Amino acid sequence: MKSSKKHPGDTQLVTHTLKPSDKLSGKIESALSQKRTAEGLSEAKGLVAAALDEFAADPRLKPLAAAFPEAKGGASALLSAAQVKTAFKKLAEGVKRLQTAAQGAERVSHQEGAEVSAFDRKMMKGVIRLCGVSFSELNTPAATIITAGDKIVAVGMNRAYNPLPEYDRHGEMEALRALKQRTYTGIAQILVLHRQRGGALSPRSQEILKKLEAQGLMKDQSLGLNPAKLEKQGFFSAAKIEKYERQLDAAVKEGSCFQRDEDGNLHGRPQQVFETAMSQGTFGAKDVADWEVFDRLHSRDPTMKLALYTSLEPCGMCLQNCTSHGQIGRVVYGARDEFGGGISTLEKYPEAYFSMGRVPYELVGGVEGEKAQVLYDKFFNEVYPYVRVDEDPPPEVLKALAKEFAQA
Amino acid sequence: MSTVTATQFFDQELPRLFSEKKARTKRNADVIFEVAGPSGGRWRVRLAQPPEVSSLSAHDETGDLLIRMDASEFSSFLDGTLDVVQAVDEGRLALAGDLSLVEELAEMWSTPKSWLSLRVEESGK
Ligand SMILES: [Zn+2]
Repeated sequence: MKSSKKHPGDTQLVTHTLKPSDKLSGKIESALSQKRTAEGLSEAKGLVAAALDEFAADPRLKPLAAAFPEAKGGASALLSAAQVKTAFKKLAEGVKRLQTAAQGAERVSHQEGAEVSAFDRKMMKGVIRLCGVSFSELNTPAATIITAGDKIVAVGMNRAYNPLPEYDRHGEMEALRALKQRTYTGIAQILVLHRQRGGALSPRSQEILKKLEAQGLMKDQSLGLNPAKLEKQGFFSAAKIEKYERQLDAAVKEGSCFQRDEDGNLHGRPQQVFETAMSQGTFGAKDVADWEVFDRLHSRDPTMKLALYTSLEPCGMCLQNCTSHGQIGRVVYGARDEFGGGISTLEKYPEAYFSMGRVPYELVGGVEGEKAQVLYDKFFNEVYPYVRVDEDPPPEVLKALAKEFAQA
Repeated sequence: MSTVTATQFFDQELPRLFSEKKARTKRNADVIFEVAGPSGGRWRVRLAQPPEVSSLSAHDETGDLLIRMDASEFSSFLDGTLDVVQAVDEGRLALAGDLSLVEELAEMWSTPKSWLSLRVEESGK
C-alpha cells in the first residue's frame, strides 16, 4: 500500500517500509493524519519502536530499523527489550529443566569406570606420582589433590605411620587440613599486605600478625597473592578487612587452624607437599586457585563445588569427612581398597542431610585405575604383610615399588 | 552471535532499557550477576519499581539470587543459545538463591500497551 498523502520525510519512510503490514501502517498513518504535529510524529515513532522491539527478528523490519535508528532508542542501542527478554526466557527454561532433572536425580552416585575428563586423568596421574613420595617416607602410598573447577586449592600426602603413628593423617585428611591452613594463611597474609599498603588494623590484629610473622607466616608464598589484583577484586575494602580481622582472631583463639611444630612455629608440611606436587609437574603456578576462590569457599558460597582426587579408595573416615565437608561434591579415586574402603558407608548416607543444603555428591572410581591397581596390589601383597605385624619390609622391595609409583 | 559484552550489557544497555521504561515488575529483590573473565564484572539488578542496575566492586554485597557465568558464555546467553544444563554441569554457569527470580527477569519485559493493541487487531484479521 503506497500512501498518496504527502507527509514529512520520516513519515513516508515509515509508511512505505511497513508495506507488509497494512494494519500497522494504517494505524501509523492515522496517528499522523489526525495529529500532523511533532506529537503525532513522536507517537508514530513510539509505535515503530514498539514494533521493532516486539519483532526484532522479523526481516521485514530490518530496512526500517536501519533507516530509523532513533526508534531503537538512539544510535547507541545495541539490544532491544525483546532480545533481552528472549535471553532471560531461555535461561529460565534451562533452569526449569535443571530443577526437573534434580528432582529425579540421585543425590549420591557411585560409578566405577565412568567417562572422565582429561583434567580428571591429569589430577589422578599427579596423585599417583605423589604416592612415590609418601611411600619413600615409609607411609602407605596415598595422596590427594583438592580442586575448585580447574584450579588447585590443596594437596595432601598420607603419613599415618611415619614420622609417628597417627590414624587421621590419611592423604584426604591432610589435604583438608592443608585447605584450612592455606585459607587462614591467606587471610593473615592479606592483612599483612593491607598494613604494608598503609592500611589501618586493630591493635589485636597487629599483635596476632606480629606473632604469626615471627612463626613463619610469610614463608609460604604458594598462594601467590597479588596486591594489585586483590585491590581490584575488592579484598582490601573496609568491610573485607574488618571481616578478616574478626575471622583471624577467632581462628587463632581456636588454635586448630594452623599446624605447628614443637616451637609453635607454623608447620611447613602443607607448603612442602604443595611444592612437591608442583616440582613433579602435576600443576603449575597458573593452575593454583586465586584468592577469590578461597574467599568464596570460606564464605560458604553455595555455588562453590570442590572435587577431591585421591589415589586409593577413601576409607570410611576420609569419605565421611568429604561428605561432611559439604562443599566437596565429587570424589575421584584410582585403585579400589576392598578391605579398607568406605564406599558402602557413603551409599547409606542419610538423605535428610541433603535437604540441609549439602551439595550433591558424585563418587567416581577406577580413574587411571589399571595403573594404580597394579601398584596397590603389589603394595598390599608385598609390603603390607610386614607393616601389619610391625616388621620392616625388605628395603629393596620398598625402593623398587617407590620408584614404580614415582614413575607412574 | 551477539557481540555485546557483559560490560556493555550491564553498564549501558540494561540501564538504557530501564530508563526507557521497558521493564516492569512487582517483585522486590536483588539479583547479583557475576561474569568472570575479560570484560566481566559484578552487577546488581534490583527488581523494584522501577528496576535498576548498578555495578558492584566488593564481594560483600549479597542478593536473593546469584547468577555467575564465564565471560565466554555471555554471548551465547544473550543469543539464547546457551545450553544451561550443560553449562551448569561443567561449572561455566552457576545459580544460587531464589530461582523463581530468573523467570521474573524474563517476564518483566512487558509488551508496550500501544503495540499490544495493534497486535490484537492484527490477529483478528
Ligand atoms: Zn582415610
